[in-house]
Amino acid sequence: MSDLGDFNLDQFKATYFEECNELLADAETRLMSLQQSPESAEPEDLHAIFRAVHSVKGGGGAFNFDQLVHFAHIYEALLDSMREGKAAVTEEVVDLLLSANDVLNNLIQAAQDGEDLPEEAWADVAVELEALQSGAAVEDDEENDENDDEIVDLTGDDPADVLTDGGNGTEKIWKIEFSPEPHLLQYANEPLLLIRELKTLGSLNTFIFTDKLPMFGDLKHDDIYFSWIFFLRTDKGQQAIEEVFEFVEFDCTLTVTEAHEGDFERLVEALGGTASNAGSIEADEGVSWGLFVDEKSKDEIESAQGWGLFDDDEDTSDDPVKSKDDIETEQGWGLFDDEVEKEVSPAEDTTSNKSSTKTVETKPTVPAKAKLTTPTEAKKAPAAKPASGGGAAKISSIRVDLDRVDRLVNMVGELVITQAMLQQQSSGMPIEYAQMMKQGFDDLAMHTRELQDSVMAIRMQPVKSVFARMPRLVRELSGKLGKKVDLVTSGENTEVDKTVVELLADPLTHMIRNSLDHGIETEDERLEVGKTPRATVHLSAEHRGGRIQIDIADDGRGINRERVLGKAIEKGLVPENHQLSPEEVDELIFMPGFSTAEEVTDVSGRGVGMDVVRRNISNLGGRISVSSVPGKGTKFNMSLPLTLAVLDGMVTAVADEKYVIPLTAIVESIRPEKEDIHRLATGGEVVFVRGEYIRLIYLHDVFGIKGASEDPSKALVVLVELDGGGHAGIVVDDLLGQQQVVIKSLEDNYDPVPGVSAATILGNGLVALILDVDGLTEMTHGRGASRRNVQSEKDLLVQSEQKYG
Amino acid sequence: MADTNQNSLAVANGALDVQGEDSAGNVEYLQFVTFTIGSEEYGVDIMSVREIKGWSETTMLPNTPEYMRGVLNLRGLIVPIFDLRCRFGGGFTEVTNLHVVIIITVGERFVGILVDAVSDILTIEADEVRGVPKMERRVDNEFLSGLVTVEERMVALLDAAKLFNSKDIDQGQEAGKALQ
Repeated sequence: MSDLGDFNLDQFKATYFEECNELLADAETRLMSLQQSPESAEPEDLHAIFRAVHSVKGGGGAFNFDQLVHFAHIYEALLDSMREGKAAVTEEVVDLLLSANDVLNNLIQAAQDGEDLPEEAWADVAVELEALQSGAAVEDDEENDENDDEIVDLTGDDPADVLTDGGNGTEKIWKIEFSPEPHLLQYANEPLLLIRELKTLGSLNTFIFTDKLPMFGDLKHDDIYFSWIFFLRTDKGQQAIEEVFEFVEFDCTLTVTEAHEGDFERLVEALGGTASNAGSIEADEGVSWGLFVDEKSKDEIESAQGWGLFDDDEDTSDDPVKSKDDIETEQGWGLFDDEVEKEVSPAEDTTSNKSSTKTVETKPTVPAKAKLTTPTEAKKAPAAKPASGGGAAKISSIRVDLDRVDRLVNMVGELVITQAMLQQQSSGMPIEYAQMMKQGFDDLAMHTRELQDSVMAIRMQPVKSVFARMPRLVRELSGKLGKKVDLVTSGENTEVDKTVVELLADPLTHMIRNSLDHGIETEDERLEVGKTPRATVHLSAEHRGGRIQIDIADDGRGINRERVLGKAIEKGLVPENHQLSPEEVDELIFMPGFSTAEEVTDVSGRGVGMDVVRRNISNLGGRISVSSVPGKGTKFNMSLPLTLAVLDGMVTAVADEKYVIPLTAIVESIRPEKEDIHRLATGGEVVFVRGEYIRLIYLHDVFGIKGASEDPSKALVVLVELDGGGHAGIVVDDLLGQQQVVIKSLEDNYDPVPGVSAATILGNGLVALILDVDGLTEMTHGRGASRRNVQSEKDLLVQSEQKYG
Repeated sequence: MADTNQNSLAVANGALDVQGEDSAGNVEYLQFVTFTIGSEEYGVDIMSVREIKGWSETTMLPNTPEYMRGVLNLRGLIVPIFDLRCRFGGGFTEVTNLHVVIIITVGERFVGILVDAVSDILTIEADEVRGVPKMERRVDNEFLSGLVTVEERMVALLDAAKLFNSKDIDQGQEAGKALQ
């Protein structure tokens, strides 16, 4: 059993951490938008951030992450002051909140790793937060001067004390007649809580009237049958008293009047007791229960407004409390989407402060009929506003394990293949059947395609999550570099496969860093050349041609080609006196080990730069290119597949074998003239295409396929672009067409095969291999004269041994 | 219940210790799927067998050993197929529709073995398994975990884990590397 318990807790924890990340990411996005315009802070944003932090805190409490809870509490306190307007929303404050968000993130990370962070990792921010918060609190006290100046110890008030003037001129005795409507309990109100609340205002004497209590048989379990008269001695005004009844104002008849001398005695007398014995029954909490019934022990009375006899009644009166507890627990776990409910209590607090100007006198005059309808509205009203704020954050989504989605994607892939297979096989059927089947197959094809699209769409995510991190990066960097930079983003909602989104963050960060560090001039430099002092970086995403295109454009100085070329020659990346076109020079920045930064800054790296970016992007099946206009700016373009699960490929044939070449690698395909093919003295062949000699890779040779055409002038040469920027020509027999293929790992059940990156399944159900163009090229590097008709692996070994041995 | 568990455990481990009886005196049984290659009969642990299917066309993997017959699509999984006859030095199998592929699991991987026909399910007592004499055949002994006599026929029990250990797979890689 305990195993099961632990397991469940772990599961909850995992969910909690997942949720924390989402909540904090959302909070950060909102903070970013706050930062843009602190003066016009949307209360919804503050509410949402507060809620996020609160949920993190609550959940953390449930798992005993003390550090986390402690910090979240401080953070939350400040947020709470802010949303109540007690603390100003300024840029500095938002900055602090952002770092608090970071700290909270670190704390969550630490909790996830089962560690504690050293105190210095968060203490500074905590102190700053507290300073701001206490500042706000002082202000608050000044504003609401009438409150809480004096806290009186209320235990065991002597009725005499309550009723005699304590000599303090400000203290008054109030007579409060409170007759709840029978349905009071149904709105989760609890008279005991009200009485306790009253008790905090001053010393209290309480009379309960049970005359409306029906016979047992007529008792409705969720109705209330009591009414009360309280005598309260307090220095607080009428308003404070009325605030206590804020939430029940429409569910009761309430009169608050200043007590006249003798009122108390008269009442006690009328009830058939004396003032002293009425006051002698005192509840633990200092609530004196003046009773006109037989004396009961306080416990009995306390536990039972319903006299302990009516269990039902007692239960119900407990219920509201319970349900509140429940809500709190739920908040605590942070696992449930009851944001609206959560919001109710703080919102009520807020409104109770603000609407205290209402006068009680009007309340009892509300017609009885209206009372039945208004309570719900009254209750909803305070909740409605934050709820709408919460509504924005509330996404109607479910959390699904990625593995499950992948399985679904796989199965749908199979379905597509099966469907294609069926269609192919049916083509051999007699015409009268084929006719009948055709419509069905067409429908099937359409539906499977649609199904495939929808399943793929499950994995799609807007790039927003990555883009949202960039404004902050830009802000921090521009501060560090002393440059003024605006980031403009567009197309944040462009969707792309989740894995692609995740892998985008690093390259993007790198490139934006690069733009800010190298591309953008300082303010003075900009003014000198007549540009606006503030630079702009555009970050945009869009779908184009079944791929996602991401552009990063700055209006900086552009690539300094002279310097780039100079540096490249200096580093020996380019031979001296080598003529390069401007575009080729721009491309040099992607060369490994290239960096023009005159001094290594902590912003841009040490020469591990754009080459890493290019490699990352090409690992994703994408490409990156750069265009630059000196003095005007630089633009990077990334083109990425929408998903890593499928790939656009060109299906090629070599003898009976079919290979898929990724479309992203293909430049063009040509059938060269015989005279353009040249044999090198070192072995191998090249083809001359538009002024460039391109190495030929005979696939049948490299892969040992029999029966392929060996004459490239009869076969086809597919020109591909290589990782390092060069080209190669892959010689195949035929191009069979362009096709989107589902990528299948070969390495699940076998070991990596050189020259092959993965496998896929073609429409006929057969496996086709996807070529690894760069791998292929490497395989043929430095190879001598091509070998033909390789029989088996043994022959290969023998031959290569002869060659190299 | 306990007996079954022990049996399957023993089989699953491929633990063919010659211990016919457990402490309770019960006889341990082992089960094998037997198949033929030419006139020879082999058996593989029934627990490792996932599926038996007719031969279907495979896709050649470049620069792999001859007995590696390529890969096929097993409901979306790419499964490599090995020609067992070829692996044992009996030459390349000319496949027909009658040939059979047995899909077995080796560790985490799915592997298909091409055989002539599947013959039977063999249930034997653990102590019927005989050791493999050294230098017995052209097949490397290490691929066999034992021999068993069934109705005058000899069945060689395969040790799939050893047969498809990465050494064989490495050869394919070496071939690839050699090219470079």
